Amino acid sequence: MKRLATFLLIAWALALLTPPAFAAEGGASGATNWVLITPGFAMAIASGLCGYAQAKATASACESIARNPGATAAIRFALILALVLIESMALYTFALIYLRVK
Amino acid sequence: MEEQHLLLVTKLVNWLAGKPVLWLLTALRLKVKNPEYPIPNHMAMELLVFALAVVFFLWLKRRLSVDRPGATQLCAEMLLTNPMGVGAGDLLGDIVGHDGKRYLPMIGSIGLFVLLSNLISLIPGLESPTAQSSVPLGCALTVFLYYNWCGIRKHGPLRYSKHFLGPVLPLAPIMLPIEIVSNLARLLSLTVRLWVNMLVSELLYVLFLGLTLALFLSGREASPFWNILVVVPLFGPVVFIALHIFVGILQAFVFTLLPIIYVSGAVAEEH
Repeated sequence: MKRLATFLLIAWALALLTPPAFAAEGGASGATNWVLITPGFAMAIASGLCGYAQAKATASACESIARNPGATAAIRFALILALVLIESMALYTFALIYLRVK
Repeated sequence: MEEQHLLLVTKLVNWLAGKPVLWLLTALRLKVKNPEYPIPNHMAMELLVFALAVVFFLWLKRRLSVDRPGATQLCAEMLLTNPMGVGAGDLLGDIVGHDGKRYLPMIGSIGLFVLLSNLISLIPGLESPTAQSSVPLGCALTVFLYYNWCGIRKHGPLRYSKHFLGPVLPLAPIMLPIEIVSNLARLLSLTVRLWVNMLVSELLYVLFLGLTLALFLSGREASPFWNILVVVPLFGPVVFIALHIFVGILQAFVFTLLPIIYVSGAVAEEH
């Protein structure tokens, strides 16, 4: 079982790491391709902050439902709306990246 | 992206209407990417969704009955009013008020169109038109024009444009640009939200199919025993189809909810 887990992890890492390795061999010379590097950081920042914001929203919604179960419908409505609006911030980032990096 | 795989539906629609469309596009001096098939996939899929919806709802309308509502009728009524209070009719009643039913035909149609467009890619051989940016943009433009038109019809052009000046007149020079930009941002946010959500849920599936396939292939090279790993690429990415269904329904709900909020903002009485 442990061997299988190790193998799976290694295979996963290989599958993740090989394409950049090949790419580095192909285009070794020349300047750093920032267009390929910055989207990773941009997306990481956007997803991280969105995750934090959504977690805060969800946490307080859960708390208020626990305190006042009668208002569940109204809270759920506000929560979905807020989550969607927060989520679109990360989606803007993704859309920019998608349009910029072909 | 440029070389798109043509669906069977696209070929059929192009066979039916390709020549006149090509002629029209050439007459308008627009660049045609693929002169052999001038109608792209998402356009053909839009037409298919439209045709399916019209046929289905005409068929449903003919057999509507108060005494013996069938299962289909009950399901369709759930879209309008349901116990959770998330149907289009419920939302209009809650947010706009008692005369909210006036806006139901337009908003319900857009919501249903988005719902069907999101879910139609579950059928193999078809794809979601909403995964192309121009289709959500069309829906968002319709919503944008519709709620502004509703406001103008309710309040008249002068009183409606006073809406944009804010509550206090001295602040108007600051409020006007903010209001205009925030209204235009609604257009952008509606478009990007729907488009990217559908795009991402398709990309996720492809991405994880690729990853699991790489896992399977590298395992098979190591020893024939790892052939059993074939179940991973076969069944693993199916999770993302379930996610796609969820996201599709949620985005259709959002695309019904936000227009309702915009309409209610446009027709609200000032106090």
